[in-house]
Amino acid sequence: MIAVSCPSCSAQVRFQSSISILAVCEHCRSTLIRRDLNVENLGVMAELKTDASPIQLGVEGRYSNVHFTVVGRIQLQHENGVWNEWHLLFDDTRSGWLGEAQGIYTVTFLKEDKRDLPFSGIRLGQDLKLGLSRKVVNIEEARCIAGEGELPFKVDAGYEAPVVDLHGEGTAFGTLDYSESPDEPLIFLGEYVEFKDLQLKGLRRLEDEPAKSVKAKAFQCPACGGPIQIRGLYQTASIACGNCGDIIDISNENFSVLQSVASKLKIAPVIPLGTRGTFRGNKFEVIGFQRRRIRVEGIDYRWDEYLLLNPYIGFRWLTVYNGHWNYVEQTMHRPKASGSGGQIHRGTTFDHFQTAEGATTEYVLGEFYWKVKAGEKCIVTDFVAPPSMLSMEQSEKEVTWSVGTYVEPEEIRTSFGIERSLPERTGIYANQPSPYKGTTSRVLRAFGIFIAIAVLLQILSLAAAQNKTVQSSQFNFAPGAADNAKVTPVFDLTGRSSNVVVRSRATLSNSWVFLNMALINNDTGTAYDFGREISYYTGTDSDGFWSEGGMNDSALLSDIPAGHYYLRVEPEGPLPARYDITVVRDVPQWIPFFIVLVALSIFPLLTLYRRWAFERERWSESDHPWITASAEDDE
Amino acid sequence: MIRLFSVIGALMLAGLAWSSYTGWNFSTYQTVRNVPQSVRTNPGSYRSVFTRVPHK
Repeated sequence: MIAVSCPSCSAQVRFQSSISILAVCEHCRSTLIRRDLNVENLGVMAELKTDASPIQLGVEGRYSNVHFTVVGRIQLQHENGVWNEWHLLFDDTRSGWLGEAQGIYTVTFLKEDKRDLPFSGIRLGQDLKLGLSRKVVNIEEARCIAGEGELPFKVDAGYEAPVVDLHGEGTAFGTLDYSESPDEPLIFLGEYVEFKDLQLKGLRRLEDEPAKSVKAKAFQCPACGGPIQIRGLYQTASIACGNCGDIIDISNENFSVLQSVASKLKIAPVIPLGTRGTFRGNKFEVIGFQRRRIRVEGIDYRWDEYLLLNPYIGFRWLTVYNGHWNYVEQTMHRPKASGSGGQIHRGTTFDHFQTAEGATTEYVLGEFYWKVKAGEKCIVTDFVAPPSMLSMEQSEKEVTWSVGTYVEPEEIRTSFGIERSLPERTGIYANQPSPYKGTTSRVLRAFGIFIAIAVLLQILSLAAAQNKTVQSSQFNFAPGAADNAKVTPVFDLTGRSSNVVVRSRATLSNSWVFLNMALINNDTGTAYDFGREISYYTGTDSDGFWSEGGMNDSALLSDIPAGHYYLRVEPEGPLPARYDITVVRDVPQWIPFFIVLVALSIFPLLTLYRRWAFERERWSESDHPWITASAEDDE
Repeated sequence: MIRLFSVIGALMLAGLAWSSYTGWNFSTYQTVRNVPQSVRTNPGSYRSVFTRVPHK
């Protein structure tokens, strides 16, 4: 570390990093540039724009398990807002940059190699091979506002800094800085990082500042004179007047009208602006509202978006369409395309749902971190994996990805203390969780268990069945004879109460015989009466040989107790016949088993149908309806 | 819903177990008590309660 005396105010100015060549005096804001052991005063550095960044000089943190200290900052302005590049000094002597824009953080390091990549030739979506494949996601003509602390290069307020942001697979990030050359940019490569993962210490205490800031930023609408309050703690770039609807540019002190809104449409947001609440563990304030619209096949679909702000984690959105709410945050993990037209984001496969060109902002109210305009258009592509939705918004300059999570309306109501009831849900939303998904899996699991038990029972039944022939007899029948009633010898039925199958076979030719039978317990005198008809007819006609009926039959008597039995048979019929009778004890049965299988299947099938119907309705609103409109017309 | 299915499924399995054990099936017969022992030696003396199904 080198400490020098400020030539202007004599205050001590430190150069903690050996690669820092510029430092801004904390006391008089003189810009000091180091030349060997001397410093040169380049003049007073411009004032930084007040912002609500929780980071300040001296903050310490960790990245990739290496401790760093924030030693400097460059503040830059682009068309739609302000961002900070914090100069980091690592314990391993590396110098890096912590980018901070609207609660999104990146850590990058300058790469030594230079490439011939003219700024004029860069296109949105272009794939650049810089170590890893990185796509151009943002192109900006930025301008430096001011700097503070120590920096590794000379910084002048107002210098132009065309920059190109790159997003690689996962969280890979990069910036091409054309401030020194329009053709050979400085290449900074790194990644998006989570604020909490940086383990920052020594942060600004923003909790005590909002009231003071709001008061300081209350002003009158330059268009209608109505009172306007800024709630966004200087993170906002534009604000829509609640009185006249005009949109005011608040990125500088001029407060000029960005857009004069001709429409007298006034919408009262369900969640009033300024409402504060704790949602999923984070405190938010609702600072902006916009209504957007897409037109598909001549039909307008409108949805509302609420902009939430938490100074520590940045901006989030609540969106609502037909009473269906989503909590949306921008994702720094660039998804990769799946084979089926979907996207894979952090291990989850999202199916393509809809691409809507010309998503238009129709009405705005409150504050936004970009210069919002009614009539803004972009292409919105949605992918779903309920309860999540992955959305890509592409404008002329920027591609952003966000992840939404379906939220029950009641959670919105309680989180933001809304006393009035929220609009009723209609239809099924793209990422609405299916109420049948969990139920279906549980029902199918139970069904599997039931089937396994049924099969086991059937196997046990087959194994345990006697299936024993206990009597076989042959008789002759002659119509009109006096002794046609016959009895079999006595036979034993053993074991538990079980079934008895009486099989009969009659030698017939174009005739029938009806057998009146009674299985009689020789000990108790209990008779089980039943009758069976056997008929068999054959012939020929123009189609050839035909037959009807058969010469075999069987009758099942269930739940017959053990004992000594005989069978009485008394035939009737028009022609003489010879017939055989066989009695079998405890024959395994399949019919009850199949009945149970079918009956058990009804419930899962019903559940699967309801789940299918739910999904069909979900996808009916997509680019991939399961049943097309023409098919429905056919039905 | 899963509870209802569990109850229905359990009842069905109980029914299957019972039918397997008793040999129960869809069958039709008439039970007649106290059939005299003489039927064994004189089968024609018994009049079956089962009436003949008229043939077509």
